[in-house]
Amino acid sequence: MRNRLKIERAIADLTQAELAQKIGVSRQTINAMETGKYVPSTVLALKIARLFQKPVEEIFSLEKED
Amino acid sequence: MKSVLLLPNKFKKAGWLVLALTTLIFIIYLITDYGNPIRVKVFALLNTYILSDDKQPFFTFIKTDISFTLFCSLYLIGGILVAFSREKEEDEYIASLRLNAFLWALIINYLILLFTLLFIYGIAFLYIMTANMFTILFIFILRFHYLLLKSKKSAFHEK
Repeated sequence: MRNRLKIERAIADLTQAELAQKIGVSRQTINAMETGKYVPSTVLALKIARLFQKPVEEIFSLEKED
Repeated sequence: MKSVLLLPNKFKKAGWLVLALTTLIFIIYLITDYGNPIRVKVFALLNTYILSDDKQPFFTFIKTDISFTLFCSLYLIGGILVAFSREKEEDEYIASLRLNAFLWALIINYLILLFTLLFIYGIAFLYIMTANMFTILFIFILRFHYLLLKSKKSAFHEK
């Protein structure tokens, strides 16, 4: 799964810690998602999409291997 | 992993304290007392030490050496407190790390068990089996905190 989390976060001018606090997760979670080490749950993905005011598929997309 | 099953975060420090103190007391006990038995009267639900003919094994009071009982129980309590306390921020990613750590602990522990069964015999087998009671917990604690440290370091380098 590919994600544009880092890009969206830069557009919104948030640090990882700030984003983490807004969503209600730990900073490690944000970092793990951005580095591709962790795939978020549906609820978390929806929360992120809602925060950036974009549809979920614009931020998270499937790769060929999925 | 439902976080309902985990203890509040403050228990974790208490757990480390218990582990540290127990280790200290154990070392002192070995050095000063030369591992002499601590003989105390205790309640035994089931006791199969050598009994005289008219005694039965259930619900008795016996006087016995509880040093093993004492230290193992303290280690167990300390280990449980450390392993099953929440992190300060317990979210789904941490839960996935926990799961990984538990898998590692179980798999490694059972491989050790298999190895021990196949290659260790006699009294050494009993000693290793005794230690094996605690290795799941301690492998979990090691692996979980290693994963936490790794993810914290990675987050630190980013921003």
